[in-house]
Amino acid sequence: MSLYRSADQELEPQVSLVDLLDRLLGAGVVLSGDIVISLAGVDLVQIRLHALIASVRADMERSATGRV
Amino acid sequence: MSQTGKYLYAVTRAPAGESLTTGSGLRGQPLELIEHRGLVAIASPVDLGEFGEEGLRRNLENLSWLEEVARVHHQVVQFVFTAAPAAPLRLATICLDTEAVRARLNTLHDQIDAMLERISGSAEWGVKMYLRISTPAGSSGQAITQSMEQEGRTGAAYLEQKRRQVNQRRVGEEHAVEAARSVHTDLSAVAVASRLLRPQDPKLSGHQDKLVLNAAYLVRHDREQEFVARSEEVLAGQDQYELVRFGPWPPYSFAGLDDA
Repeated sequence: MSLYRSADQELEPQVSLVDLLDRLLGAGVVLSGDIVISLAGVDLVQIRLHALIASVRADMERSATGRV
Repeated sequence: MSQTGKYLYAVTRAPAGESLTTGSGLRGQPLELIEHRGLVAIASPVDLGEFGEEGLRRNLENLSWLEEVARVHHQVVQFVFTAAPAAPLRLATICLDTEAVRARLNTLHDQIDAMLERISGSAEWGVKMYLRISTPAGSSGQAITQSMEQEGRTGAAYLEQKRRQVNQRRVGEEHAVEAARSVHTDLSAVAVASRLLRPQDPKLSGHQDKLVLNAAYLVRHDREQEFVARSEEVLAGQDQYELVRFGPWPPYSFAGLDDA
């Protein structure tokens, strides 16, 4: 459902979001943009994000196993 | 579209091929090349309603929004990287206009240029090593069950079994740490640089086995086959471990401006 397509990239298997975010948030050139949250908020964002993914997974597992 | 800004994906050296402008970025917007003193930033226009401070704060908590942006970001960086050495920028780096982008390139010119030199001709490979929890190292679970049957199901036997299991797991993990260190040393020998990444929460990765190594390696293109071969043989015959490798990727983990 990505808006971006190119022949080469169709061949690459889908990488996990966690591995991607490890790099997109935790690494790369830090160039101070005009939108400050991208830098100052990263740690906060990661924490929130982790909490969010954890809760999504918990929901998925519950519905997959039928446990309450 | 309300007010727009420039979302930045990567920086490369001029001349960046004009073919890069055939690609599209977030929300299908065309890629733009912003050149300054021999460096080129690859950007695309974004709506500041969505990517401004307030929008980002809200949207970054929306997992499907984040995933889509992260994947498009990665795809554009990959696209640029196939054409030239490229330094990826951190997710959600946004400037208000072209002049602001040029000002950043001007300030960081020497650092970015030196970093592009370091990563030129190389790509990043990720390696993760797991200790399988389902197959504990050391003596098998079967032996414990048998001895329990001999001793009878008493409380003492139960505690003894627990104690052995804990001990067994501890020894298995100690061996795994050693094995991981050795894998890292072996792979680093084929790499230009290496970096240990922080451990991942199993809740996030969805992987129940114990992660004992999460590392990134910067590998020259002409040594890729050697790196792949070594990663495949380094744990041969040790079924208690699983090694996951991915790459070649743009050198995300090696594009820090403060890495000397």
